[in-house]
Amino acid sequence: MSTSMTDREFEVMIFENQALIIKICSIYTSTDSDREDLFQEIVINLWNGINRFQGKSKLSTWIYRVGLNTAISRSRKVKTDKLQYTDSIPEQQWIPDENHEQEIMALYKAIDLLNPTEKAIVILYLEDKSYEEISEIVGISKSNISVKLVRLKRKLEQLMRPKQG
Amino acid sequence: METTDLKFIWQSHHQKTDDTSKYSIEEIRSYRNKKPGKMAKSIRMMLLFDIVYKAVLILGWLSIPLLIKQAGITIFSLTSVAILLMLLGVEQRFLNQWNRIDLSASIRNSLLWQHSFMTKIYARFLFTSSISNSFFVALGFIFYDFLKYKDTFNIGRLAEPVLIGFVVLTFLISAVAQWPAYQTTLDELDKNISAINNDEVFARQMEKEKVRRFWRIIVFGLLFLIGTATLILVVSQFV
Repeated sequence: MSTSMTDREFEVMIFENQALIIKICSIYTSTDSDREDLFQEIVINLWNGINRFQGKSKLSTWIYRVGLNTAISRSRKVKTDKLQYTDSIPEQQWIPDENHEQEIMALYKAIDLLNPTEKAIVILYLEDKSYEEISEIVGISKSNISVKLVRLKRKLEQLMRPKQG
Repeated sequence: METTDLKFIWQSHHQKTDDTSKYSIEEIRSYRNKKPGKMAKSIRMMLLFDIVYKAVLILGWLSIPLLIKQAGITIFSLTSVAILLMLLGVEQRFLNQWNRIDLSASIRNSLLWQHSFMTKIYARFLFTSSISNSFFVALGFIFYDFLKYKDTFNIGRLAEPVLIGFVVLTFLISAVAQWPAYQTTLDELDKNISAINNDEVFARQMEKEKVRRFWRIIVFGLLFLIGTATLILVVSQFV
């Protein structure tokens, strides 16, 4: 795959990889319209940068890089528009449920409190990417990734834990 | 909650939500052809806006010698046009530089590139874009004077302290107004870069410690083997 990708091939490639982009959008935005805007911006940036993709890295690595860089740049702009900001997760009773709805809500809320670069590392970890791939996407050493993940997992657990009343 | 649960929660949730066909090929095609909505706030738009603004100002300044046939004002207008053209060229270079942004680079490199652009180039843009407003005010004054006094228009009035004060004030207000947004962007970039870099020293130490531990095991292993061999050799002498 390289610069010779046609319009149609590009559209099919995005269609096949949309779940990956949707997941990036879901952790960097909080409303449906923001999610759609970010999805669109990532698609445009992927299209504009298609000539730079030489196939040296995996296609998913390239999509993650463009997607996460777009989301991080955009989150700087959107941050100031936010009307509300919370430092902590609202108190809640922790009741284990089979569908993990409470857990996924708590996980999303916890991720929302991380800074944009931490979010990038977390999503790659949750998506089961290898340390090597995370290191390639983020641009830091594997050992640094492992140190950061230990801290981030601990941080997420603390944020997800319901507050004792 | 166990650490391993995080992945499980995430993946089980995304298995249930069907994200694989949310957008159709037609929707993706329309996105590809659209201009991004929120881009209005982006650095590229700011640069483009000021380039267009300067081009309009150049047209305005070029119209002055056609309206007012005075040697003094013609020289003044053409000097302004020359300055604006030079600044327009400089901003075009800034825009070309920004267009070179590589979003397929690693997150760290992309952030470092943006930081370098903001400190080396965008800081200069704050200056060149603020000047546009000063030229706009000066142009407005000339038009106002021309419409008011017509044939008795006097270029000497341009040197009045009130006008000079307004021109300087406009530059300062414009620069000061842009500064907080610039500083916020720079601070955010700094925070993101330090969030990526902050564990690097610790990680490097850990890496070194791992290598040291590996060599310690090798050395102890060798010593153990040599010791055991020596012991066997010594014992075999007596048996």
